[in-house]
Amino acid sequence: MSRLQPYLPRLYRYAISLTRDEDAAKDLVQQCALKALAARSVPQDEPAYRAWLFVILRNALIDDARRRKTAEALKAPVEENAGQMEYWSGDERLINVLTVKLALEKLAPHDQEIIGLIDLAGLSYAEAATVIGAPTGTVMSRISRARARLLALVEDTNVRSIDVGERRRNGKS
Amino acid sequence: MSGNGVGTGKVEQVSDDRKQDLERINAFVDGELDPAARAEVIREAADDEAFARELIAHERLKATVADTVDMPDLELPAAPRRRRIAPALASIAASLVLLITGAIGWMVYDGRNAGTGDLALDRAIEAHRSWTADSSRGGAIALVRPASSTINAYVPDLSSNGLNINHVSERRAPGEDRLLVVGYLGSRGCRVTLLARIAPVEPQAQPVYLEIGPVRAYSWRAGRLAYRMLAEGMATRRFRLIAASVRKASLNHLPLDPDTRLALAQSRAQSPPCAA
Repeated sequence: MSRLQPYLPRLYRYAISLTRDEDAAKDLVQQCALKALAARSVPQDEPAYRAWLFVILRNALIDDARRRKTAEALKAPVEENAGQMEYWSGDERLINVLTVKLALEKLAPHDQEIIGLIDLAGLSYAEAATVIGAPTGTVMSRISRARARLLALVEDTNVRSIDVGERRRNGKS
Repeated sequence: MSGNGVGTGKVEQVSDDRKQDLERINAFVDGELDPAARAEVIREAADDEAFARELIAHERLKATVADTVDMPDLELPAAPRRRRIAPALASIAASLVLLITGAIGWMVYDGRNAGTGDLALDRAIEAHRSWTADSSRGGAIALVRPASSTINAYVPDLSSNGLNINHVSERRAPGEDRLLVVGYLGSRGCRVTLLARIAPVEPQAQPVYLEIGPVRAYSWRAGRLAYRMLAEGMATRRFRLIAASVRKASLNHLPLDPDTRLALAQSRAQSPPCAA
């Protein structure tokens, strides 16, 4: 098995968080894989190799003219003034896949990206920091703010979790 | 931690203390705190119900986010070729690959399909694999509510442990008892099955844990009900904690208490994804 193969699902999850589009995410992973396979110098250390792959994928997006608009948003400075931020601490029962999926799509690209790196790709704060080129402390505050915004959006959708006993018998939730 | 509006839906301005609390909660759920800091968070959660609820809400949010992506089949593109391998060497390598693949295939087949010699356990494993095979193929959640279930079993909410109910059915083979099958699907590939059936009361029955290859099984009695929990490829310590917690809760028919949910969440964070 290729050394790259085990990372494809995580790269795809990160790509989804960047593009919110399955086909575009697949293309991005393919571009990343091609660049990684063609590289002459590859990090030997596994954590470094992992971070290197995510950096390639991120750069592939930024280089891609079709994604120029999103890339510009990613490169834009992140609002760091947390004092003006509004948080909502949500009732956990509101959280389900559907509402979270809808809410994720409404997040700003840099929030989607940090959630993609931590929750979808499963990177540590240190690894995510390497990918986005920021200190670990910045990752910590960015994920905290991104999740707070996500919780606020989940609340806004006003969709309630469905109790198992009340699901229809046709199996659709 | 001061009042934080958990469950009220209120929007609040963020103070520095609040910002630090939130960062600590997020670092906790992401497994980024050192053991001392983790212990401090757990202590605080034990003393502050609102803090504990917020912790659990963030755990659930993280687990749910992971469930929002359906994985397609991903294949590597053909690697650019740099040099040719000598034909003889390639032939030897191909033979080795075939040999190793065959050996692994035989081992996997043997471990996954051989009977255990215990008919009830074999039936349980078959029930577990019947729904996990469906969930492996992806698609919508398959919930089939039993039309006239006679089994009033305890079905716990394990979402704080990253396990969400994905399958509910009732099975009855000729000459066998009704069997309630509840399947839990985790965001990291774990699949846990809870089985329940009505059985004669055995006051002295002790819980039994079995580990056969990748299969972990834990069975216990609660009044007229016989329960069995199954998983494949799950870290032993995590499985035993889940099963023991569910057993304890099933004896009283009460939800998992906050301490247990936190312990389960911590166990999940410290465990590798399921191998099966």
